[in-house]
Amino acid sequence: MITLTNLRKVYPSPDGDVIALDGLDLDVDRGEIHGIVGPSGAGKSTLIRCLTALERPTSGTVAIDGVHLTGLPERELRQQRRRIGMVFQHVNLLDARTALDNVAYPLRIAGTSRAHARRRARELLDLVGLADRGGSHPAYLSGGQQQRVGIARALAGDPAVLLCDEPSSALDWATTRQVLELVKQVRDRLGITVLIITHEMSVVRQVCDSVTLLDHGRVAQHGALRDVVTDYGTTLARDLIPLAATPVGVERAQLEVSFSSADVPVGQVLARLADLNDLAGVESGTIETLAGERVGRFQLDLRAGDKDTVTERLRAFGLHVEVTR
Amino acid sequence: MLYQLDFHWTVWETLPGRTLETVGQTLLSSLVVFLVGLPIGVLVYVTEPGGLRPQAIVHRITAFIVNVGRSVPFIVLMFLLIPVTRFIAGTSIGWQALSIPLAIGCIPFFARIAENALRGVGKGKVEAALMVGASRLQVITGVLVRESLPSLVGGITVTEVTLIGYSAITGAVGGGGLGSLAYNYGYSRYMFDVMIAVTIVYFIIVQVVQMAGDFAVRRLDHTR
Repeated sequence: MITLTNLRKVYPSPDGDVIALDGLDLDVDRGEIHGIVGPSGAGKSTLIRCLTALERPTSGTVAIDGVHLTGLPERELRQQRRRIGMVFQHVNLLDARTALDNVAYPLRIAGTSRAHARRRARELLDLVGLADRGGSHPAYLSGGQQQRVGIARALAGDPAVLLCDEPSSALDWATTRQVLELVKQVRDRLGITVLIITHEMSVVRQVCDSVTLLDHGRVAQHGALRDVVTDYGTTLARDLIPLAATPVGVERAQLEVSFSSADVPVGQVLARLADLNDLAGVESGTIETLAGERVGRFQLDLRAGDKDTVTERLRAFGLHVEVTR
Repeated sequence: MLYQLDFHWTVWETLPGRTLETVGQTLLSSLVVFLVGLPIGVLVYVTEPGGLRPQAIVHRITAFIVNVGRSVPFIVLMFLLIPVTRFIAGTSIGWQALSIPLAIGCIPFFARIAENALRGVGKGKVEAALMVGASRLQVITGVLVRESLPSLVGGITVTEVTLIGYSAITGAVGGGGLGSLAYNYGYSRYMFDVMIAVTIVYFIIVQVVQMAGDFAVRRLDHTR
């Protein structure tokens, strides 16, 4: 649905060129919720600007639903932008218009009649759960309600892709959950492809099916959530399922065990760990539900001499095991 | 004693007519000021580097003209523009003719106010509109101007009051209106009662303008 090939964006500057995107490849399937994470300066904002063609990449291509955005003339670009719904961190609603007219705005500028645009806007406000607030101006809505209106506006043009740029960074924890839940509902109901740019792992944990970690304008890690979390030692595995660090004693060793319920059911994992009895003890562990799968990590403490035996036993059951120390 | 304290009924009789001249001159020139000043303000803003349609040369030229226009004192500009006034109106006296330098003098003033009002509209709103496929013209009318309407109207009020002040100056050089009453009778003939009357009428006019402006801003501003 979204295909980026060898995307590069270089900003010329007097003190040498700044490379914001350094040969980025990305493929997001239809109906998927894909998260893009990375530290600030990793190229997330530039990526959004290239995806929406507000910025032209230095080289490489951006294709949405098979249509190449790069190199399109202004007029057709405007048409194509309507196929992308954009949700902003700071919502960016128009203060002079009511919630209803904000949602109707994309349709109005596309030439839809006022009556028809408003009818569609009413349906969309209903979809985001704000059917009764259409007459309110944005200033009289809460942050969460404003973001719901923002999502409704993004959906007005029947987009194929919903692009969310830090959609919850300005919201509190509870409102964030509601807004993300809404994004999920929208995907389930409309079958739309969603790309969420965020710096919060909790956002990825809650809604994403797959994730890309950007670093210095490149893809550092990429994959379905259940795969990246069992990928030992990677940034995403560590950040998505955090484990408390525990000290390791003399003559002792530490093992890290990770699993996905796609491979081994949770009950069996716990039973196997209990079977280890005196051989190894669980020091810390986390089980999360990510993208509909139960995934988790455990840290085991054991005698240094037993680590090979235990590793082999657990691997035989389909668990991912690595010796940490 | 500087002023006579007599009551000059024959001059008072002309007060309503002079008031109408001032109102007429103000309305006529302000119409021109807003119709020309707003597009100039838009042009300066959208052509600046990083603007909606960056055009360095156009930006520099328009910004320069606005600055020159604002730096010439109105009374000097009025004398300077006498040939232009003659050319357009066929005469350089009368309230209608002097509406011309009055308008030209206030256009740069309002253009700058409009530019600042547009600047107050967040870039995020512009980007959001571009994202849903708005053309630049649609962004200017539907987002920039529409969103800044409360501050634009506030700016119109300020401009209007300045313009009323300038219109009094035209009265001293044949522009008619209340200014001519104040100058020809109040000042030149020491008629204190006329001076007081003119002052009160100006006060009322400015009050009405200010109250109407504040009311409009309250109606337009949906952010508080």
